Amino acid sequence: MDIALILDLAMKGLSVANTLITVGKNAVPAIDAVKQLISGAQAGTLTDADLDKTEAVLDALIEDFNAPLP
Amino acid sequence: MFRKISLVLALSLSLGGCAGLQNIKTAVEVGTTSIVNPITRDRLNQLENIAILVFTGLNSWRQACIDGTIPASCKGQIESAQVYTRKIPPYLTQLRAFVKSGDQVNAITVYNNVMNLITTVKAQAAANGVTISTVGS
Repeated sequence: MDIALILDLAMKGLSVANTLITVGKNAVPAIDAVKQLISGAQAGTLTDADLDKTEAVLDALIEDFNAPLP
Repeated sequence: MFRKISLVLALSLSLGGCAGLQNIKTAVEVGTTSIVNPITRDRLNQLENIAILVFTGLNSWRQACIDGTIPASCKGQIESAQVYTRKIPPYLTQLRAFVKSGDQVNAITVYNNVMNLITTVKAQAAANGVTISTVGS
C-alpha cells in the first residue's frame, strides 16, 4: 500500500472539506466525492442508480454556480 | 470544527486499501492529461466526482463573494469563470449519453473537452487567489 499516495489523496479531500466547514457550507457532497474516488476498488460495480445520484449532485452544483450573481 | 475535520480524514483513510491502489492512482491521474483510453462508467463517475469537488469549491467562492467576505472584484472574476462553466452542462449531457451507448470515439473527445474546461476554470480561480484543491489536480 502506498501510504504517501493515500495520505496525499486524503489531505486534498480534507482541504476541500475544511474550506467548506470554515465558511459554513455543506461539506457532505465533497466528502462523498472523495469517498467514491478513494474507494475506486469498486470498479465495475457501479449501478445506474449510483451514476444517477452522482450526476444529480453535480448538475445541482453546476446550476448553482452558473446562476447570475445577485 | 476540528472534530469534523478529523472525521473526514479518518473516513478517507479507512477507504484506502491495497486492492484499490491502482484505482487511486488512476483517480489522481484523472484531470491532469488528455486520455485515449476507453471512457468506462467508472471513469465517467470519477470525472463527475472530481467535478463535484471543483464545483463545491467554486460555490464556496461564489458564496463568499455574495456574503461580501472577499473583495468586491470577485464578482467580475466569477462572471469570467462562468463563461467557461456554462459550457460544461451540454458537454456532460453528451458525455453521459456517449458512455452509456458505448460510443467511445465521441466519448473520449467530449471527456477531454470537459476536463479542459474544468482545468481552465480551476486555473482562472487560482489566478484570482482561490485555490481549489481536488483529487486529480
